[in-house]
Amino acid sequence: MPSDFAPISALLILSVAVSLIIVFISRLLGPFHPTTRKLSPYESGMQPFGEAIRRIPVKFYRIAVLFILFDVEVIFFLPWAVVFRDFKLYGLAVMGVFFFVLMIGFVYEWKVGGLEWD
Amino acid sequence: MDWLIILTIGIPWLGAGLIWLLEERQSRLQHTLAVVFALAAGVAALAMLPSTTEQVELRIKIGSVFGDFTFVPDGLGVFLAVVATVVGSLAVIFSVDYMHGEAQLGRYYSLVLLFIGAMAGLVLADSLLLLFIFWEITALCSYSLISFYNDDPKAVEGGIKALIITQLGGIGLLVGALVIYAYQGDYQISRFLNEPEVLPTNMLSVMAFGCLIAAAAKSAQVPFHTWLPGAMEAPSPISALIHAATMVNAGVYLLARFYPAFEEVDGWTTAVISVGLLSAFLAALMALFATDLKRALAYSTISQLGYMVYAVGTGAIFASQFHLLSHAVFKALLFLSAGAVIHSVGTRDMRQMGGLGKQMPFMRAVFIVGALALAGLPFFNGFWSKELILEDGLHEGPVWAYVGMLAGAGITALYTFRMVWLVFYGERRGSGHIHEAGRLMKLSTGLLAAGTLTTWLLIGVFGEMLENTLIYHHLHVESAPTLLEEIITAPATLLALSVVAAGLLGWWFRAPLAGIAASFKPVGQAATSDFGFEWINRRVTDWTNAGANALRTTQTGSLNWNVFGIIGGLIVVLVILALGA
Amino acid sequence: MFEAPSIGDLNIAATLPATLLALGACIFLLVDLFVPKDRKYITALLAAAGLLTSLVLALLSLMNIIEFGSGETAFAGLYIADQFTDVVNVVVLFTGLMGVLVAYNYLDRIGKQRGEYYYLLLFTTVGVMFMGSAGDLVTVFVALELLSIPLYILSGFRWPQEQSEESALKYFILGAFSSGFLVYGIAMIYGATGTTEFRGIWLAVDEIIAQDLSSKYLLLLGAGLTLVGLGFKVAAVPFHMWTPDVYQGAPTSVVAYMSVAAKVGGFAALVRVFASGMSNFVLDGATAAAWQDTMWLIAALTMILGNLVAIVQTDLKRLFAYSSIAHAGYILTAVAAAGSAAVTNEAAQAVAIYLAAYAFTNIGVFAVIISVEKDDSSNTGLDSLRGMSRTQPLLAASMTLFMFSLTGIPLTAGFVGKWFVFKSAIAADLFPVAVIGVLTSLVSAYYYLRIVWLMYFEEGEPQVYIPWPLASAISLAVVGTLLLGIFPYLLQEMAQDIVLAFGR
Repeated sequence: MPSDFAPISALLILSVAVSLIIVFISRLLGPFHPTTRKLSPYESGMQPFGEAIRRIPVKFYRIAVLFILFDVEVIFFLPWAVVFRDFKLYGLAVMGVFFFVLMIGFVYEWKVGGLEWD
Repeated sequence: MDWLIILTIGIPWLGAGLIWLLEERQSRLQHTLAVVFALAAGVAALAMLPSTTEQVELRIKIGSVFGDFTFVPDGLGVFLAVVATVVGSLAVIFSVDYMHGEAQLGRYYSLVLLFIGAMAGLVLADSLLLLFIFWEITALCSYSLISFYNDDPKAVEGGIKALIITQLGGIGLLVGALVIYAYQGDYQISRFLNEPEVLPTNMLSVMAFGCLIAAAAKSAQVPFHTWLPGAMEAPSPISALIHAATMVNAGVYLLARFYPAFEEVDGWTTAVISVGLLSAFLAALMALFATDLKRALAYSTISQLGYMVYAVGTGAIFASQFHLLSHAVFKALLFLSAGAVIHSVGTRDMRQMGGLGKQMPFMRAVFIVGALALAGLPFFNGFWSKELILEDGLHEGPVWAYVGMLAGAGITALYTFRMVWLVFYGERRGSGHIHEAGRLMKLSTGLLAAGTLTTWLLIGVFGEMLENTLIYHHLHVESAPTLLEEIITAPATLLALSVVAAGLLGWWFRAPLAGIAASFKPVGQAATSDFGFEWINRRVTDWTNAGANALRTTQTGSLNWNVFGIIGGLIVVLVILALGA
Repeated sequence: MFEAPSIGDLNIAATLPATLLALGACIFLLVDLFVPKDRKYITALLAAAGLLTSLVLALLSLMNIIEFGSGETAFAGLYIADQFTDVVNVVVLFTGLMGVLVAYNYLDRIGKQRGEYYYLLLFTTVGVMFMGSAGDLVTVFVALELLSIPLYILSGFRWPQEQSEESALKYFILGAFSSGFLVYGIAMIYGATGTTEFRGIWLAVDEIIAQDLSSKYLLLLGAGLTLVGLGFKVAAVPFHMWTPDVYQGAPTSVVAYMSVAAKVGGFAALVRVFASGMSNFVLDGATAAAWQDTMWLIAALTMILGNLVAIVQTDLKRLFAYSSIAHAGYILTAVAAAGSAAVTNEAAQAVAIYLAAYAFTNIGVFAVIISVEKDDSSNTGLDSLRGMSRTQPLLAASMTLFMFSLTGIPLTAGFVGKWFVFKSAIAADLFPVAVIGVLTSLVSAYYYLRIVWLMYFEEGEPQVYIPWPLASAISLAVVGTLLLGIFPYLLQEMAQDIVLAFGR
């Protein structure tokens, strides 16, 4: 029902409004002394210009992908553990399947040497 | 009866299979087997004649997908099956001499026999789907036989052209089969003819015009006629059998078969008459200016088929089928005797011939018999049937068409005499040794010549057969003496005869008339260039190619463009969906 | 309070062919780790055995000799085990088996004999099977990813060859892009109907139509987005542009498999979503479902563009990429026909029949291309077939048969497929599309017969390489193409029990 979405749209409008208000209030009330340094994107002195595409060793990506895999596992396990009592044996079986598939990936990656840095 | 149907189709196919299996060097056996099987098929078809009926005589159950395959041996079907097998046998007999010593005889005879069986099946089938399948088999045989000399690029090109144009026509038939199935639940032609009202009017007209396209493509009618002259690269017996006596008639047969259902469709009869008229008239002009003997005969075939199509358009089913019979006999005769001449001279160019009558008296005699029938001189079979068409046309059809057809008859006489003269009389213009045709060549052409002189006597029997078994056509055919008397005494006949005589005189006094002829030069040029139809053909293929090339440039491999395509597609999809809402 | 179902209620037995293969693929993956590099035929054999076992099970189920499980749904409605499932399973398992047959020696030749190839192929097959049996939009999406991701990897299997890498990357980027559309579409449909299950969607659509709710606009948007997402998978115009590049760049054995498998999966999902879930989405004053017009327009465009552009191709792999686009158009014609309530089931049957017929022929074609391809993946031009009838009469005859079948000449499987498709289109009053279809098949005859011409009428000495697995694959394709063409009722018997429309 469209009316069910009313709170969401209220939230949407509210959040946009609040962010706009904050921006403009600080502009209105705060002191304003612009200098070159203050207007630069990074005030910490980092040089903002340069090549966006830089070569990074592919190993980092591999580790990142593996991290995400196991991260997902944790995200999945946590809520399951919370309601484990209600699911009983069924829950255990389903999670067993998930864990089995995950472990296959783990064994594969171990065996082909994906976990070694060099 | 059901066995006779199976035999008529099965015997040639069995023969085709056997000959295919024989080895190349057993050529004597191949010749013999081909003749035996073709003759046996002819006998089987002739045996069907006494017991024609409008009932389904043979029903082959092949599961539920394509419905039952049914056969109805009615007068029309049996008659055409007889033509296919008998002319087929004669062409095979002729081939024994003509193809003597050629390589790959097995392929040749197998395809010819396969064709004969398929042609018989085509005319006997009562399931439109089955008819379509036979239709395609005949097209494939025709293609392979035109391209029989497959190291000759012209032969291959001619074959492919024939295949593609007749395929285009096949689409019309396929659409018809699908439409019938969608509304009627099976493919039976007889059920459809009994009750064409099951189709809504617009579907009926789609089907009617689909069939007209199919027929025009198959029977080489304007504007789809361009494949027939190209098909003349085939060996001469093939031209006689497939491209004069049988396969090209399939289109006329289709129109005649479905006439009762389509008669009432708006504009259909006018369209049929126009197609017939244009073909008859334009092709006659092209024949007048052709220099290649076989091409001239091909144009004349288009022209004569035009007469039959015209007759169907005016509702004269009997006249059209009767002319089909006459034409099958005398045109097969002309092609076979022309083949004998070409075989002997070694060229097809009429300008290289001349004066051949002295060396080949027998071929001259039979060719002239055929030519006189083609010109429509009295008491040859072509005379009776053509007069019948013209008489019916005068009474039933529009006057403008009648005048055109009459003029066509005059031109026919003119080009026929030109052809005879160029080939057999005057001075020899080429060189080389000329030998008289072989014995079997003489036998088959002799039989056909006898047929040309006599088949008109069958007019009464034939009429009765059609009247009794084509129940949906409501034909009424007079008895033979009445019919013959009517033809002779009708004023239309005298008119037609005088036009023919004018054509004859035109050729006789061609020298004094040279001045007038010169003023017709543009017509001649137009006729030799096929009145631009060849040009249209070429443009269609060129445009398809150009369109494909243009589209190809839109198929870049660039990812941006691909993403753009997907999003553009999405927008279009959403717009259409929104329009529907 | 959530009530946990018991394991028996899941009816896992009904999914046996698919789950068994999934399990097999997982185990083969482990086994392969311990297979030495020079004995990868063990993995290939295992994969073939797994596919064959599943194929036998699926065939038994198709012929109703054994019914696995009880009832038609499994996994609480996520999975449907009906006749359509069985047909899709049989077709794709057969394709997978052929995929292994054509790949084994090819991988040896290109020096990429790795176990990964085989189990990735198995995973894709499982994905297609789940797509064909999806009872829920969520299953469709997960299965689509399971089908696609291994294919992305397989397309790049010839790294570091640039073409292969390019094809994988392009396929991946565009595939991910179009998956996004599918998810968005699923979300919209869920928004409009409040469920992702097809039966629930169907009931909700009835209500939306009956009460003329405004959520029908949301549903339209959802249908459009889903159509784009799935249209990409089946390579319908204008979502087809990846096809030629991917087909040309990917290893030929992968193309042989995916040109059929990805299509089977995509069309199975299209039929499930549109014919089954939304066939009753008939707006006021219309006679057919709201998506029908869009569908037939796309079908017509696909047939025209695919066939026309194929004419000017000079590379076999690109030519058959466009040919596969054109065939997608023919199948879409039947999908469009499913939008008319009276023909929904007939059209779904036509889709199944066409896919079965197409599978045999198309894999055969690519097997022939593999046989002429050189080890460095060159020599896939049209010229490579020149004069084949002299040196390889049997191979040339097989290729000729495949060309006839793709053209749709009677007595071949392709004719039967086209026949049913056009029949359903005419029954659904989509007359113009049927005519476009027939006319474009005439155009297609030009480029298919040109190949026949090259093989029979031109001079040349093609070098071919046909080890026995490839030869047996080609023979199987020939037998299938002929068998289905001569005995069309095999296909019809197989398909006639397909009932997808709910409530009828």
